[in-house]
Amino acid sequence: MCRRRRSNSARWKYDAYHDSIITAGNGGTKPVRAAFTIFYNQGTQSYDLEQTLQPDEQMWIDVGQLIREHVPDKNGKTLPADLTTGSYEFRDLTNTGVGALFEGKVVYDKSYGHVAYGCAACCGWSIPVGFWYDPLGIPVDNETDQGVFAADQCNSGDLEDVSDSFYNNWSTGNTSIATVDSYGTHSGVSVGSTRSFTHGLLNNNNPIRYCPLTGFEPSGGDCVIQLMLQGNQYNSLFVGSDPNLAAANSIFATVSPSGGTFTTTSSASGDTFTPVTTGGPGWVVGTTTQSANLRDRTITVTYAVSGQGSVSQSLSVTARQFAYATNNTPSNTCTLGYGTAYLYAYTPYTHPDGTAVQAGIGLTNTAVTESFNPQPPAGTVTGSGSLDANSQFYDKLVYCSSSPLSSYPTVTQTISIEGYQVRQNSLTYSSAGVGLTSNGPTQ
Amino acid sequence: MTQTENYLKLAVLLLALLLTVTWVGGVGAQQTGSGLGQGAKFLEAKIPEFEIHNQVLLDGLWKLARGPAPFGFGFEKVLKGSLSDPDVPDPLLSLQLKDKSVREVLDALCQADSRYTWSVDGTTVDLFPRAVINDASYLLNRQLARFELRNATDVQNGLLAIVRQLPPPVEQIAQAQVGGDDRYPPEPWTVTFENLTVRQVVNRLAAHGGRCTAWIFGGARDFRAFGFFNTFVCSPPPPLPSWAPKRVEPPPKSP
Repeated sequence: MCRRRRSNSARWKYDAYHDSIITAGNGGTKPVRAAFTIFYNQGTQSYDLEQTLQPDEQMWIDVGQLIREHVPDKNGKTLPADLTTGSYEFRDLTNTGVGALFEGKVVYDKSYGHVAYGCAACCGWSIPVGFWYDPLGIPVDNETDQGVFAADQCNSGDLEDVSDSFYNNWSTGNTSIATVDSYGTHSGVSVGSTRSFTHGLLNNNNPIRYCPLTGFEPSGGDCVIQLMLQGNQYNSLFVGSDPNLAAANSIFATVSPSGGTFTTTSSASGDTFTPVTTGGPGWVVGTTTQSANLRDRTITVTYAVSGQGSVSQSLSVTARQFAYATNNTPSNTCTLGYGTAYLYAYTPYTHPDGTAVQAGIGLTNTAVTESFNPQPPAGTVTGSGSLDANSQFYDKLVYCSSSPLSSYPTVTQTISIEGYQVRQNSLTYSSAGVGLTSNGPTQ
Repeated sequence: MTQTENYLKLAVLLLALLLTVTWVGGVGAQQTGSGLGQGAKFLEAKIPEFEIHNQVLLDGLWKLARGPAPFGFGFEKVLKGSLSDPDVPDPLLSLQLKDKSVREVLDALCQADSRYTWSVDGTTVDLFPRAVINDASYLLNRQLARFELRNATDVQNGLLAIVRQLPPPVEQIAQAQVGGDDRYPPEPWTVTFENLTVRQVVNRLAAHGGRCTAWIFGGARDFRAFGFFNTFVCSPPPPLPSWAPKRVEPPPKSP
């Protein structure tokens, strides 16, 4: 029997003269989940079985029986009836670094009763055994995962995760700067530097010595860095290119220590980041695409300090597009004798949230444009407006004179913010003045 | 320096000041001297780049007035004979100017549409047809020896006061506009002006709605109408959004 973590070189045979019986047992003290895989067709295809083994329990695999009886694997797949040879692998799914499985194999010659015993090569772990990140950047008041890798002798020495063999042994040098839990998850307490330590056992790759357990004590630096992001209080961006959107679309960073470099990304391709002109570090996020769902846009800022690692923070925001507007019902203020004068106050709403644009969000002066078809009557002045500090806009509709008025055809008024149509009105001019009928949209 | 020389210099200075203050009613880049705030320093502000392509004069004026050196303005369209007449066509202008002052851009605009000239009244620029300069009967050239406004809360209060306080003949006046905002501050406004043209009074009525307000006058001789547009372009933007972190600058390092 070979105590082993896994095998990638064991062979089996099955034909009219040979059969292979493969077994694996749980040599540990706790139940393990064992995975058995048969590779065939030059390793391009696999057949997978899984079974939970109690301590001292064994599983027996008769490869010939699997082929003959078309036994389906866990995915419903069966082995080809003409299959004669291949390789196999056991894996301990419960324990990564130190395996509890032992396995054995008998290939016997059915003609002459000859039996060959074998087991797979033992391939364990070797140095380098170290931390995923050294130094590890940890945000203040936030968490970052740390783990351990080791060279995998089953896989050309590639570095692979063996963190579970180092659980429950973690510590940091200064808990007023950083703490760590049993699983290597670090928490930043205050800005500063310290070190982390852990220890664990891994099988090494010495088959002569039955893959003995070897102790490792990796350690590495921790740098707790402050990175706080602050966007507008409604977690939103506005779609468009008007420079007056800059305030509402600004995101500011507060960092310590200073002097690092920033990297900014958005989950939406095409979003842009322009440094703010005052109050930085910060960026004006430009976007031309609306969110599909609330807060589905992730803005991520990574802050790297030379020699101290990097930390990242994200903001989940909604990219809002102007969609429709509601208006008040003003009274007639014409005092010249004939006609009407109304000052409409419009409140814009956005998609996808369907909420009114909040006062004070920083959209002052954002352009509101209007177009008319046909043009209003001669003498009427048309003009565009803009959003005020309350994120509303006003629209004067006046046809008021000291002399009697004439009648004109109805005019269609189209109002847009940032190029997005938010309202269409019918303006009816008559000798009594001008009236407004909304054609929506209303949602 | 003798006392006589001092008196002589003082006299020259006073004379120059008197000449400046009494220069009224000219055209081009001349101030009326009737005063709206701080005078016309903005006219010398440099505009790094000013471009219009196939746009009318009023488009160019809007663009200039909302540019890096914002200002309020009054624009008087060429009036039609009657409302039923076809519209007066406006020439399409194309200009590409770099590093010119506001004054130079205004000159260039009025050169491109030579029907117009301009003047400045305090911080308000007036563009009006050259053809009306010497027309004393033209509404906006008419003189008001005294103009009184009491408890005005709407620009129409001022327009009505003009009609009522002008000597005969009775003038037709209207406000006709779609779009924009012409609100007055909520506090009632009482004011008296003396010896102003209707144009200068309208400048002041507009300016009460806010700095950099624009007014436009148009229509026909039988139906003349104003529109008023308050803008925020002269209001200084808040330096930072309210959610921007308050940065504490480190103390300067001692040498």
